[in-house]
Amino acid sequence: MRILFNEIRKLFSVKIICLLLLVSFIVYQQFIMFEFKYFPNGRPLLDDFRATQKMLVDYGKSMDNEEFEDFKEIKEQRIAEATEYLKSQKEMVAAGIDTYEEFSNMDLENEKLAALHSKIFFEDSVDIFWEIQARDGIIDRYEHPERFNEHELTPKQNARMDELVENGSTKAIFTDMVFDNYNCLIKYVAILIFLNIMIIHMPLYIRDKRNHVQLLQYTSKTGRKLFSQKLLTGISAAMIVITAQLAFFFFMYRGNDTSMFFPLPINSIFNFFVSWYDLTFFQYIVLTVICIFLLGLALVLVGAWVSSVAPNYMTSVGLHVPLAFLLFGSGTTYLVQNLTTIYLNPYLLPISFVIILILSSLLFMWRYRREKLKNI
Amino acid sequence: MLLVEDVTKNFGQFNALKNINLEFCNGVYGLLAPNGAGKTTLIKMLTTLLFPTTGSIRYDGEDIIKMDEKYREIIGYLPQEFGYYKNYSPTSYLLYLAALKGIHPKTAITRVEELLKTVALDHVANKKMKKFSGGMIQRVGIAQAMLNDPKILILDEPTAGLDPKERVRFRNLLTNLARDRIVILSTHIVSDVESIANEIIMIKNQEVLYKDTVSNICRNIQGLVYETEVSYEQTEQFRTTYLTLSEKQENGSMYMRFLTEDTAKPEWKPVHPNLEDVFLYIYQDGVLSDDQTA
Repeated sequence: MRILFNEIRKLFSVKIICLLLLVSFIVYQQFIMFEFKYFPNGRPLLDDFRATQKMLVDYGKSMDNEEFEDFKEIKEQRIAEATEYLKSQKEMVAAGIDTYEEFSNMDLENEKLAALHSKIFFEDSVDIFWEIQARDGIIDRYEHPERFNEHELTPKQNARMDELVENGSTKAIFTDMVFDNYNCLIKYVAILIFLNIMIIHMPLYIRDKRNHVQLLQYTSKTGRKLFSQKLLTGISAAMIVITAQLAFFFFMYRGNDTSMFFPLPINSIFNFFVSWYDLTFFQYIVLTVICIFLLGLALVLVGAWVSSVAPNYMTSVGLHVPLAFLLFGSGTTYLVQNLTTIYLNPYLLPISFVIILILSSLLFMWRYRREKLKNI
Repeated sequence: MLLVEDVTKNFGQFNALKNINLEFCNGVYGLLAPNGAGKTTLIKMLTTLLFPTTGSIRYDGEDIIKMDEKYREIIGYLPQEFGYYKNYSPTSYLLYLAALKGIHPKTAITRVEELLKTVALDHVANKKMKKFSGGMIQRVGIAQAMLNDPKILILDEPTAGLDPKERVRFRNLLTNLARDRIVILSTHIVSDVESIANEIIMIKNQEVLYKDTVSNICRNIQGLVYETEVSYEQTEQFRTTYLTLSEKQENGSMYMRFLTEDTAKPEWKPVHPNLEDVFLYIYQDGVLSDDQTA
């Protein structure tokens, strides 16, 4: 335990911690903060989000036909309110626009009318008009569940789509806005975490090899067992980094106020994403977290191998480049984002993880066996 | 007792050591050879950093490789290139190594304090080592080798960087320690071992040439070492004729110490050979080239 603690202390040197903080600050500023700051990003997304939140309050997890009628009724009320508003606007009345129907059929080629239209939406930002648009979009999607399986799919995929339509999952209240926002955020957070792990693990073996401390380590009682203990240190350090980064991320994510979507199924007519499994949004979040931990573990094994074979830091950085290219690109796209999507083979995810973990473990074990017999 | 039996070490096609047979009991052993002769290779095999190609090394009858941590637990090692962390203080670094050596934390704290006093570093015990001189770093190295109170102390070029005062202090320390343990000291500096080693081991052409006391080794060239005065004009010719061991300018001429098997001339004064004379005589072919080194 003392050895583990000492090795962890070595990995988290002041310089490394400063570097981690700097990298985290840059990644947050450049990629992540935007998704916090501008969620929902402008209008009509804000109005879609508000309408969906209201649906959840009024109807619960899904919206049946009766509730849908109520939803449409509210829209009619909003149209009446919009008409009242238009009647109260002298310039609109003067232009002959005193009902919502006339407003929505305005000739926007006409500059004068286009200016009036724009004034309502963008200068005065009258909420009712935005809300009506959002409700129109929701109604349109609800009334056309056939869009759910309009793609050319394999028989297995079609069967899953049919199953969802039949069991009413499509009527679940969810929104792609929340799902896309989370997916976008978790990709960047995963990239940041993997970058952190790479930075921390680069000196894991190289430092002691380069400054000849290895000679003292391998002739001590612990001896070459230290090689595997350092891996344990690396895994512990990675778990600390992943946990800290995820904790900070979810703390920030609270600000997006999406907790009411957590218990909702992600398979919905209001979400473009379709899963092979009946997952709630919270379960999906947990799944992404598990995948990040597993990928982090595989990265530690590969990173430890790189650190043990690279003769210097430049070589190590060079070996990390293709690894980063793979991980930050395809790795996060298929193994952190869009998990269990119906557009990919359902076995792709578990098989990928099994292969990645087995290969990275074998790589490290091979190195460990060589290290035990190596002339130092 | 530590026993090296028929040990050969090859690095690919290169033969670094062949058929080495040695026996170590309590006492100081000086491993003396020029750079590149295979001292470090032998030392690394004694510390399990290298594995013999053939032969075995046994401690109390048991193979040291099979003994694994039981063997490493009783050795103290100072490598030629002593590694350390610049941002660590001697105390924190020694405590780190104490953990690796499996020393109990409480014992380690007392031991570290004690050793830092022994190597006269107690006044900088908590200062970062990045500001230390070469001699101070070497003393940290000596302290770490003694952390676990080893039964076998193996020191590779331990006096590098030490000033004369520190060397004397170090030699005294070793003499004291060697009463109840094996101390193997590798060096190419003859004065480091001449006065303290119970036995000297000399390696030449990958084999052990001598393993004997200083006086017995010196006896090999008894009657062959002389001193004489030579004029400046004759110096160059004298050097080509005889193996000069040392030269000194004195009273307008050169005072030469040399070795020859020729019949002594009246002006030559016979002197007792010392270990350095033997060293120069044996290795007169010159140091081994770098590409021959292990």
